[in-house]
Amino acid sequence: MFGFLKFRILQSILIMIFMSFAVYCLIGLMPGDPIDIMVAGNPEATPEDVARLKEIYGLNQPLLSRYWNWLSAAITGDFGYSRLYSKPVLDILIPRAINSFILLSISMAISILIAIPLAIYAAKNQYKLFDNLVNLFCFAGISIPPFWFALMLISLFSVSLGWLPSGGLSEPDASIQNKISYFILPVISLSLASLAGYTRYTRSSMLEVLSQDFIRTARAKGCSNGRTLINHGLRNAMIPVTTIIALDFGTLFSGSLIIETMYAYPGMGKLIYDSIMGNDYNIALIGLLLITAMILIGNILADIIYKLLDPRINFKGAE
Amino acid sequence: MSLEKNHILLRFINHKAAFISFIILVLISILVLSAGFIENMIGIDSNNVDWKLRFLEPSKLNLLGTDELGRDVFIRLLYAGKISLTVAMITAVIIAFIGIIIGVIAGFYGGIIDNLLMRFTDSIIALPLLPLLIIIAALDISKFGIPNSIAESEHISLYRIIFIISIFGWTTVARLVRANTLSVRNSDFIRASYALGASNLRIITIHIIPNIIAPVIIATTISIGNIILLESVLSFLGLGIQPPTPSLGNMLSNAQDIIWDNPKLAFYPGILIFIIVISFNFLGDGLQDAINPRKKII
Repeated sequence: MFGFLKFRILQSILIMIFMSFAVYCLIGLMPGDPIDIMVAGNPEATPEDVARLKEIYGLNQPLLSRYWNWLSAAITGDFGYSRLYSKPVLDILIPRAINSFILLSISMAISILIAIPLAIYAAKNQYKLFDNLVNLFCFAGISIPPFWFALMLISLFSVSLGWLPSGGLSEPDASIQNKISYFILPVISLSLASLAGYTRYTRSSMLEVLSQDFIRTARAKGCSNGRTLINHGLRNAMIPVTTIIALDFGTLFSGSLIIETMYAYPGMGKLIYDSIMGNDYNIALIGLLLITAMILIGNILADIIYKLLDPRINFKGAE
Repeated sequence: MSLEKNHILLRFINHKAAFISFIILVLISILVLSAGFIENMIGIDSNNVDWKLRFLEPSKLNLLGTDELGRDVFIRLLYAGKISLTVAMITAVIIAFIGIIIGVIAGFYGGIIDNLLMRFTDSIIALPLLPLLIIIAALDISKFGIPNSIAESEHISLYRIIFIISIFGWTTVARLVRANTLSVRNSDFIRASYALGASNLRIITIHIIPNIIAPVIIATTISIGNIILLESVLSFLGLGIQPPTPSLGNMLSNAQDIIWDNPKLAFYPGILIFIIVISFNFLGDGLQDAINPRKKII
C-alpha cells in the first residue's frame, strides 16, 4: 500500500508541476499585459519607464527562466502579490478558500444526508412509482444547467417573493437567521447536481449488492428486513459510494466557480474567475493550483478509503 | 443477427423515457433546422432591432414575445438551439474520435505505451475543468500568431469552443475504449486474423473498432448533453459563443442582466437546454439498456 501511495503522491506532484507550467504559459497569452495595465493608469510614463518596469519584474527574460524564477520563489512560500488587491496572494486566498470550504461542506453534507435514504428507499422499491420518481429527479438534477437553476431561484425567491437575499454574505454581527438566509440559495444550487449524482450512484450500488447471494442468506437465516437492508446491504453498497464522494470533493471545488459567481459569494471559485478576468495572474495561478491539489488529494483519499473499507482490493493491480 | 437487432430495437422502444426523448430530440432538431423557414413564414426578422417593440407580450406574431432589443424570442431560441446542438454534436464526434484513437492504442499495444497514455489520461481527469476552460477561452489567440483576419472572424468563437471542450473531453471515451479493447484483444478471432498475417492497422480497424463501438456510441450520446451544459456555462460567462451569433448560453447571459425587469426571458433558453440535455441523458440510458442490458458502463 505504501509503495502505491508513494507512486500516487509522486504522480500528483508531477501533475502539479506540469499544471503550474501550463497555466504559467497560458497566462502569458491572456489579453492585456500587467505592465501595460500599470502604465495605462499613468499618462506620464515613457517607453523607457516601461522597459525599466519590465526589467524590474523580470518580464524581459525568456518564458522558461521566468517560470523557473516563479517556481523557486513559490517553493519557498513566496507566491507574490495580487495586482487587484495589492496584498500577498495567500492573504487573499486563504479566507476565500475557507469560505468555499464552508459552502462546499454544507452542500456536501446535505446532499449525502438526503441522497442515501432516498436511494435506499428507491432501491428497496425498484421500478415502483417512488423509484421512478427518484430516477426522474436524478436525471433532472444532472441535466439542469446549474447557473440557470440558480438564476431561477434568484428570480423566484429574491426578485418575485423577496424572501431571501440574492447574493453576497451577511454582516459579521448579523443574527444567525440572517446568516443562514444567505446560504440557502447557494447551498441548494450547489447541492442539486451532487445530490442527484449520489442518489443515482447509491441506488445502483444498492441494487447490485441486494441481488447477491449473501443477502438471500441473511434473509434465510431470519435476519429482519431493515437489518438486511442496512447492515448487509448498505454497508457493502457504501464502499464505491464513499470513493465517489471523495473523488467528488475536488470536482465540487472547481464546479462551485459558477455558483459562487452567480451569488457573489466570496469564495475561491469567484476569486479565481475574477482574477482571470481582471488579469490578476498570481491569484489565478495559485488558486488553480490549490484546486488541483484538492482534487489530487481527493483522488488519493478515495484510493485509501477504498482500500480501508474493502480489504480485498489489491493495489498491485492498480499499479 | 437480425433477431438480435430486433431485440435491441424492442428493448429501446420499451424504455419509455428513452423513446420519448428520442422523439422530442427529433422534433427539436426539425424545429431548429427550419428556423429560417418559420421566420419567413411568420414574416418577421429576428435580427431586426426595434426599440418600439421591446418586451412585447407573447402574441401570434411573436410566440414568446420579444427581448430587450425588440427581437423575436422564439425565432432566436431556434437559431440558438441550432448553434448549440451543432457545436455539441461536432465536439462529441471529435471527442469520440480522439478517445477511440488513444484508447485503442493504449489497449492494443499495452505495456509502456498503455501506461504512459493512461497516466496522461488520469492527469487530464485530475485537472479542474471549469477554471481551465475559462482561462483557455479567455486567451488572446492573436498572440499565437494567428492572423487578425481569422482571429476576428465571425465564427472563430464556434471553432474555439469546439477546440477547448475537445482537448479535455476525450478521457471518458479513451478509458472506455481501452477497457473494451483489452477484453477483445485476446479473443480467438483476433489471434486467428493475426495468424493469417493481418497487419496491426487492419486488426484494429476491421476487427477491434467495430466490436467496441457500441459503448462509445452510448458515451457519446451522453456526452452531447454534457457538452451543451459546458458550452452554455462558458457562453453564459461571455467566454463561449459570442453575440451576435445566438447560443442558448449567451441568450441567458443577456437575460440575466435584465432579470429584474423581465424574468421570463431567462426562463426560455434554460428550459430548452434542460429539455435537450435530459433527453440526451435518457437516450443514452435507453441505448445502454438496449445494447447492453446487464452492464452499466457509466
